[in-house]
Amino acid sequence: MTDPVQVNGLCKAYRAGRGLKRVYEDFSLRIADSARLVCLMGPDGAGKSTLMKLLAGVLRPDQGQVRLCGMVPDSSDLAFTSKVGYMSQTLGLYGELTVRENLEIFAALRGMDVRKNAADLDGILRKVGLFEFSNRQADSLSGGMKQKLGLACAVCACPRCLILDEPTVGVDPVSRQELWAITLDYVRREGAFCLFSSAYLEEAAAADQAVMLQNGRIVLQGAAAQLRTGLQGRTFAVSTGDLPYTATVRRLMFSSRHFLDDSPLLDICPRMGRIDVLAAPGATVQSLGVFLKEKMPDAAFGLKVAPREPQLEDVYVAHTLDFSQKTALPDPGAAFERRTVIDVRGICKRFGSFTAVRHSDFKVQKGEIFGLLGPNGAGKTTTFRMICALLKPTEGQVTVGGYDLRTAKSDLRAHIGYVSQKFSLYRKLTARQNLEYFGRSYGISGSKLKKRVEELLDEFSLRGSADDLSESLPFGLQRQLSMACALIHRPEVLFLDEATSGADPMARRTFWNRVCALSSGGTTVVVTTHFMDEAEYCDRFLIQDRGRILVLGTPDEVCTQGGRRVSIEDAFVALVHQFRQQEGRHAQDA
Amino acid sequence: MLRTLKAIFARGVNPAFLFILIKKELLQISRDPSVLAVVILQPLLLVVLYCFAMRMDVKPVEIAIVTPYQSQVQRQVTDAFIGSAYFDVTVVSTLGEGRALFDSHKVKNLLYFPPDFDEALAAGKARALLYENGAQAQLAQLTQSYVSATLQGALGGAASGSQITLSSRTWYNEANDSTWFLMSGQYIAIMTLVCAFLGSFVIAREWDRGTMESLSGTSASSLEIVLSKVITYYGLGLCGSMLTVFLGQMFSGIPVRGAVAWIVALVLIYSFEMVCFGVLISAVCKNQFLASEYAIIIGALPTMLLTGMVFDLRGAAEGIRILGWLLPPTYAVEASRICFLSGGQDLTVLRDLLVQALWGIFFFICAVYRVQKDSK
Repeated sequence: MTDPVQVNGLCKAYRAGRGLKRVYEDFSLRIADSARLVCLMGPDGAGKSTLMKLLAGVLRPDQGQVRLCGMVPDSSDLAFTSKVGYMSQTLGLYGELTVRENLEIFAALRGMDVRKNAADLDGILRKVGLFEFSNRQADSLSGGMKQKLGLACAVCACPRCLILDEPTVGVDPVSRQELWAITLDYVRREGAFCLFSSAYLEEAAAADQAVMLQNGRIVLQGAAAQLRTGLQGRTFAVSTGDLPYTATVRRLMFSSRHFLDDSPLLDICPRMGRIDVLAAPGATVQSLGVFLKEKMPDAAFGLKVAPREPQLEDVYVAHTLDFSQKTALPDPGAAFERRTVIDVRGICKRFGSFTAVRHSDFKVQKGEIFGLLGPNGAGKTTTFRMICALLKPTEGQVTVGGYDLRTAKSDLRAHIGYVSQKFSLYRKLTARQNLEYFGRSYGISGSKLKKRVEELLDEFSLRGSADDLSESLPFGLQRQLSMACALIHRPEVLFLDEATSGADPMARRTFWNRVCALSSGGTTVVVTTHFMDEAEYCDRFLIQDRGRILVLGTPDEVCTQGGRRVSIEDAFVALVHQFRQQEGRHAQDA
Repeated sequence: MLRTLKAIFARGVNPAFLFILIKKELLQISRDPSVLAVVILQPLLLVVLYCFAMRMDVKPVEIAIVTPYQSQVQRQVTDAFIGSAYFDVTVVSTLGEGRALFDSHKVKNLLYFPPDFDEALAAGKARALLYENGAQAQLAQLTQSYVSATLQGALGGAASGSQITLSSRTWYNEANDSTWFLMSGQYIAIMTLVCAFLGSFVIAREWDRGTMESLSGTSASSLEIVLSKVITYYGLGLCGSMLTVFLGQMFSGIPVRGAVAWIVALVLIYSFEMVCFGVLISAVCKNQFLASEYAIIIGALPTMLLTGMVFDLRGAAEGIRILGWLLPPTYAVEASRICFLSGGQDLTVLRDLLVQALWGIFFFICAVYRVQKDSK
């Protein structure tokens, strides 16, 4: 058998503005036939999508050879396209067409006789759980369902090779498990080869082989188990005992190398009720214990350090660690009174006959990080938009920082910052101009504005690209810039709507370091996220489904089941599943 | 480029792919019928506007006629003016009165028959004096032509039976109605707008929505993609073009002097050319907003300004005139004028149509090449 992927001496550059952006220069990659499921991982701009497009024949190499399952990728060659299923990151579905119509178009364009194989197409729709929705327009589907339709379109013509560009991005855990199951099932059943990219490292770990790219180079390649051995002896877990979990996580974070130059703690990650640590080479349980005692004399007796097995995420983080961005430590003496900043009382939102949110009640305290979690279409975005004054509740009352949103919406604006999933930047302004514009619109001007802009440019590593148009910035920097714009007026409350969507683990670490530092300084933060594990950083969070709050509490409260601490994702899936079963039963009773 | 094109065309068209792609376009149109506004409302609006608002004849013209001697001839002339729809006549008996009206801007024009008018007329050397307000040069020019036409008509009648019959006729546009002249050219402008605008959406929309990426991952060739769009939107554009001509004929009553077959051929070929032009713009811009903007700026505007549709090219500066004759719509305007207003000149019309067809094919091939280059 031929190797499924063979790339030799590949060069590929894009035209970007006046110059050329070189993605690959003399790049070679070989994946042996033994690997059937291969994951590409790496930060934004590493070249993952470019490589997948080259393999799918959507792009042509400038130089060098690319072979997929022994074929030269050429999307005008029926022999090639009928054997390859490609799912692009944008999905590329026709929104105004129905599920069935979309599937038929892509099946027919891959050389399938749609009429003769109607039963097969039905089968595919059943398998991805979209059969009942055959006549729905693709636009009206939830994110997870769209993703499933995209996958169905890629596999409809029974390809031998699947190329899936971030098939699970922006999807809730329930849909993600389903998507993963469909892919796995297809690969096993057809003996197909599948190359996919993902920001979820547990998906990469489940693949036969993981390839990590960075700046157009291979950093790591191999099976997860084999890659992990490189970090043997450097990973530890700290259990917090009776100490408050989130507070301890933050104290440990602030003692890591992101904040302190010679700290042995390279990476801190709250995971399943413990604090996972990646330590500098040479560190031992004893040396870490000594370090903790020195840094946190009051708490060190409660902390217990133990070695643990490294995970793929540790490997990834170890290769992408970047301490150039130092986040300022929050003022240790920053004392602020615990008072309610956001008070949500009985809000409902109805769109026509559809109830998106029914009767939500919760309070958020000053300096708290509060998370909103839920599957796609659970109403969390609606809730979120109502509490940051972008949407008016049908019923109920929201007070933010003492302002009643029904009457004092515009007064509130000066006190809140907002980062949306689609970074709302002015694409044709430079990074600096964006900052200045947002600053002025919040009423900052003159030398004060200038000083603040310089400060933020440094803090967010934007100095080098301060005078580049924001549309030309890599995705990661756009994310940084939109966060900087939201912080320019030092808001009391920060709203972050899926701000880490599509970000790699390292970018998310940097993000959370900053968010935790802000909250310790007294900023109240409300976040929504698709990465369930990120809720471990929250002081409290709620899980919503079908407009109802299912649970609200601290990570420990929510995720302890029968005395055992489970991951947030497991708790989430179990809760949603249970709730939907109940609802189903109620519906049957009625 | 040639090799790429050869390869694309050598592969030919897979009828199954073309069929499903056209079906897709039709489904999209049926789900989002806003595009039909371009096909139906735009021609309707423009035709009405051009027929009833954009005209150059200013009727009636206010004129004072000074007839000191109520001779038979002068009465006859005055009656002709009063009877004409083009004039709003005030009759005065002295030049002084007439000048007073003229100077106070109560009338814009003054026609004066000198004392020796009747004798001079008999001798065949009659002269009348026309005062005009030169501030509105174009109006003055028009008035002059109306007056001379009316005068000659009246005097020709008076002189009939005696020496010579003065005969004047404005050829091809007997009613001397500018709508005829303008409208026969405006058909082309409206067709340009409708068809180029329609075409400008189609490929850019695929890029905007990210569907081009998934489409290019399939076996559909760029030829099939472009062809499916051209066929679908050519159908729509043709409806718009035919509606334009149909409505225009209904409202303006332009005569059809040429062969109807020529007109049909013109509509068929010109619509094709403009749809292909729009599709090419769309493929180059890859952004719906930009593409529709360019369709208007480099499609419709030059058609209005540089093709002699409104402003006769013979009056333009040398450079502009050459530029005008380089633009394909210029030929379409010429053909349209011939077909409607004069008829004949089959060879010229044939040449004009050929030019359109060649440009259309050129645009089409360029669009295919562009899509191939960007997506395959």
